[in-house]
Amino acid sequence: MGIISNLKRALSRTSIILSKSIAKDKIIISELEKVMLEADFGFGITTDIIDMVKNSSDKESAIEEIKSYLISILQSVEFKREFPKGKPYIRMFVGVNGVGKTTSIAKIAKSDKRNGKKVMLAACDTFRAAAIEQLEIWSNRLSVPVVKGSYGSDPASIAYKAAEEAIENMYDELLIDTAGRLHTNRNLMAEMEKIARVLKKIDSDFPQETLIILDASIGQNNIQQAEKFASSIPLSGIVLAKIDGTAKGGSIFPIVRDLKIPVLYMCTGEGLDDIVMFDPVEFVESIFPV
Amino acid sequence: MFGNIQSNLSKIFRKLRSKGRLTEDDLNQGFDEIKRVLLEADVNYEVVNKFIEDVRERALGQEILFSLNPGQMVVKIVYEELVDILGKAKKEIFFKGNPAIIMLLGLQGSGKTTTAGKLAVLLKKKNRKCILVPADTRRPGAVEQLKQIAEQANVGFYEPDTDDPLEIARKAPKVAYINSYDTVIIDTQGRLHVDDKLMKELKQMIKIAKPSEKLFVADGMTGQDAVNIADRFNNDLDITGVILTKLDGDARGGAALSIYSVTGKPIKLIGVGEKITDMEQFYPDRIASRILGMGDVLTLIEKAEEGFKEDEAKRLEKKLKKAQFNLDDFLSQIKQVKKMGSLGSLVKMIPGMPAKGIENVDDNVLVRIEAIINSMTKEERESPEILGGSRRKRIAMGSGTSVQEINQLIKQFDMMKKMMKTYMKGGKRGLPF
Repeated sequence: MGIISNLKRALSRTSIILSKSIAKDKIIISELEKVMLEADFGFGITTDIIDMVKNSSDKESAIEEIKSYLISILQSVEFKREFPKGKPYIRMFVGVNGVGKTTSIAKIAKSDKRNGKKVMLAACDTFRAAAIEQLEIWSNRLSVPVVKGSYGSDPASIAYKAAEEAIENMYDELLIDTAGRLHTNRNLMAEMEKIARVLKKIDSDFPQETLIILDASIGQNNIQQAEKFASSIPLSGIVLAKIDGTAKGGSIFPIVRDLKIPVLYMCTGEGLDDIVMFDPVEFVESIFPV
Repeated sequence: MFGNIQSNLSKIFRKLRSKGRLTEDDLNQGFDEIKRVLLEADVNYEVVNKFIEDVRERALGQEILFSLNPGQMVVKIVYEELVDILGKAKKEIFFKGNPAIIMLLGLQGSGKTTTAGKLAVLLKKKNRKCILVPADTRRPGAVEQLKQIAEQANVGFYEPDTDDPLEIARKAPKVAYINSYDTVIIDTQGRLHVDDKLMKELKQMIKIAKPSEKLFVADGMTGQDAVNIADRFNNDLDITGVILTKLDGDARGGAALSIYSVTGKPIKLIGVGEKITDMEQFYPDRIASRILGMGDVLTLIEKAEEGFKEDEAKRLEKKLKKAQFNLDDFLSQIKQVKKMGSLGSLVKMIPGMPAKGIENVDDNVLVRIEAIINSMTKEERESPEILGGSRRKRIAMGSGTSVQEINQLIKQFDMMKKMMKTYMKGGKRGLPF
């Protein structure tokens, strides 16, 4: 958990300084600003938090205030997952290029399979070289089946075929891997919308979830990514990937606060088991150690 | 790319320029706003502070307060400082040895494999004979991906017979040498800068392969952490340059503005699209003018020169002079424009065009025009004035468009013809591109 300990260290420096005095001390304020901005929190939330701290009388209450504010942001969106009876639970994974969609799918497939679910994969990235092979290798290693098509074929038709097969063979879950696409590319966004639209033809509940993968080392651009994807397709949650580096992933705070999309998973390493359910309290507590 | 910074900065500059005289307060307020824009664009916190201090120092010195056009002067200073932190002058890929070895390094998902293909295509234009070497034997499908990319790029591919990256680094240059390739591009596995074991492996690979270029491939959308990552790679491996990828979205370019000042290593190339040809040389001065909304005419001209064949241009010019320009020529011009890249990317290089909101210029317009002209007979193309109602109806059916669209095209064509006539009369030479 390199990131947490790093952020912990960075922010504990803040708390030392905070202990001296809190009020309208320029040095504290700018130190706090630096720590938050360098953690990719972004200008908006940083300013809000600094305004909050300005009115605090002592260090402890200031930190408590910050913590409860950050936790309240992360908890502000509720999420419930109910596996339906009589049809598969379909999850679509979307995001820009190179955030770790395929790897995240492999991780989730493994963990769900271990929990007794019958899992199927769909390889709908028909654009990037060897994307299908990459998912196939995971499918072999995890021994879960994968539905695929040929390169250049319509991803929506593969998703449709996969959903039909999942129903036919009574699978609990279908995980759909999609091509990485930049959120500014309207054609590719339309292609993604089509996948969801086509699935709805089979069952209006499909896909039950669309998860966006966000790379923790990306800065404020994560906000644009989430915004643009959310305006194309309803997003049910965020998978925060690559937080095992030194990046702090602070950009999720404005996203959760303003777009109301909950963070569901956190990828903490390269191993297949390196995925955990996201725990807001733990995440924030580890940022601000007692 | 840089759309966000550009539109925000231009607002600030407009405000500054609207004033005849600038007080110190005006300037300080302007600098605070610039600082905010840069921070929102993911430029590293320390880099921003230093940048603002440098600009402030110059501005508050003699330069602005006493100049005739203070607002313009601020822009000039910001431009010069931007060029400075972007790396001053362009730096090209460096080749040494036969074969010359280029290693691509970076985090997972930064775009190394895709970059390998784009780099090979770019170097092919410089008459280098490239072979791609997959040293990422760990990520599923990585070798296969590079193989497919090599096919697309139509360059050599080294098929590894081992899983050991060190072994691959040892063997590949020899195989390249024997098969008379002069450039070896090694695609390494993505790794975290804090992964000591894998960083050590890279060090060993470098010792074995002795690359003349160790290029750090970084995602152009990286946030504040970009400097930590680049710094670590540089300290551990002494990188020789940087390739920034994924700059075709609305990347704010923070990484571009931060990495050089922290590592002192130049950004050499940038990836600007999904196609294998979408890689460009990085020019600090041109990027600075794009950021400041001053356009990038030089790159536009270069693209035009690349896309247009010279004899074709001369032929067109002759026809224009004789006022014989017809729809066939129009069509061949459209085809050449298409070769230069997407319309959106071209428009962005025109000075004064806002970078925001035009990311999605519809390239289908060109496709439709092509379809319309292709549905015409030879006679119709040569003398569009014979196009009556029934002909237009037939063309609309044939091209899957509407009569309105054809009317519009003919109108545009007439206007263009008229424009060209006056242009030629004016005695100016060359096409208006």
